[in-house]
Amino acid sequence: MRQRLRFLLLFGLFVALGGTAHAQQNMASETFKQRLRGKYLQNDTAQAIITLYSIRQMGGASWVASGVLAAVRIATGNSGSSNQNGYGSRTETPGLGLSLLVASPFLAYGVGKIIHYSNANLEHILTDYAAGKPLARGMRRKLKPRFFRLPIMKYQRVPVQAVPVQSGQKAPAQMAAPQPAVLQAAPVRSNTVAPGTDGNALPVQEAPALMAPEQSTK
Amino acid sequence: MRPLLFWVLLLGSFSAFAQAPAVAAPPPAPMAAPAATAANPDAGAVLVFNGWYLPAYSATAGVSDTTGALLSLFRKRRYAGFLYTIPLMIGLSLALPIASKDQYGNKTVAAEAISPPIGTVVLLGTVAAFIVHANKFNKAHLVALDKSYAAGQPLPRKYRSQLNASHFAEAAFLREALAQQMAREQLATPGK
Repeated sequence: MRQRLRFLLLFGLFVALGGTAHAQQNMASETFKQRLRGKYLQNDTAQAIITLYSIRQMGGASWVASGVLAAVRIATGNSGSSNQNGYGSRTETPGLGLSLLVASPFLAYGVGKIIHYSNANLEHILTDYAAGKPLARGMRRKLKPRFFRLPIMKYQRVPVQAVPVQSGQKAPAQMAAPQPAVLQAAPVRSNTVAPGTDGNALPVQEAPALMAPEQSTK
Repeated sequence: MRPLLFWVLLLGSFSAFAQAPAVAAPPPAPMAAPAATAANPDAGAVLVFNGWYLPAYSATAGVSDTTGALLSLFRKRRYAGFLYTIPLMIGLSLALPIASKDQYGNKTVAAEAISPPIGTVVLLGTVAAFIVHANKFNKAHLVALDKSYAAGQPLPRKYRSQLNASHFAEAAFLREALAQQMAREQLATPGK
């Protein structure tokens, strides 16, 4: 019980304190990569390199996070006793040192990834590439076709429907339309309806063309 | 393919205690369809991540990206909803008797709970608060808010007071990512 409470408190503290710092750092790192994307927006290879780096960075972070979680689990969760066949046995916790030792290869692998695929390294490679240097062989080998296919951000256009969305506004207009039909309604109606249909017609025509590459990437 | 940005933002958003970051976000680029938003709020709107509704926004001086910040606020608050498990666990362990193992591995269940009344109050409070929270940050409510905001009504105070700089920073990031993606699609289509 005490162990579990301690773990819970530790976890809560980790989330509360680590979360804010991590979120800020993450946002800064992503904004940096976004700026690079904007700088080399026309170049497919540069985009694929940035995609590769952000995927590998996330992989490194997840190795570190799961290593830390496993170490905490080993350090706190393994104590207890079991009663099998009438023989009671008690297992002791391995301690934080031993659990960190067990987790260290995984942590080291994650940290190595984060260092190797750092933002500074990314900028360096992109600058060299933009200056006309050919990509290193290792980098060329790492660039798989899927990194070229991944979109920067997946999105879907909202289909624009004139009737259901504007039903609240159009209903009175249609109700009012028959009465002044002869007097003023003709120019007024053409003015109010035409922008709506214009605005609607454009995105509807665009939608299938833009959806097509979107669906092919799925 | 996994949407990359979704995981990036999810990993970076334990936001229940989030403060305003000092990140200087780049100015948001204009969207593809800035026109006709007044006529139809759906024009130029997109769905991002798990179908989150994001209306079009054109960057003009003095007009901040309120709808984008609202999306960021809703997304962060909804993902932070898992934090309700912590008071839930505390309430459960107060309200129900706790089992423990002794030195020899014999399992014993405590005769009585630590404090059933307090535990019950905590449990009920947690469940009620979670229902209120999930209702407040409902996806459908976001769409309704965006539509009414496009129609010119001000935001309700309970949402407006919670918007902070981090939400606007994330909104700017999202808009820029969307603009880049659309620009890349525009580049890709004429060549084919």
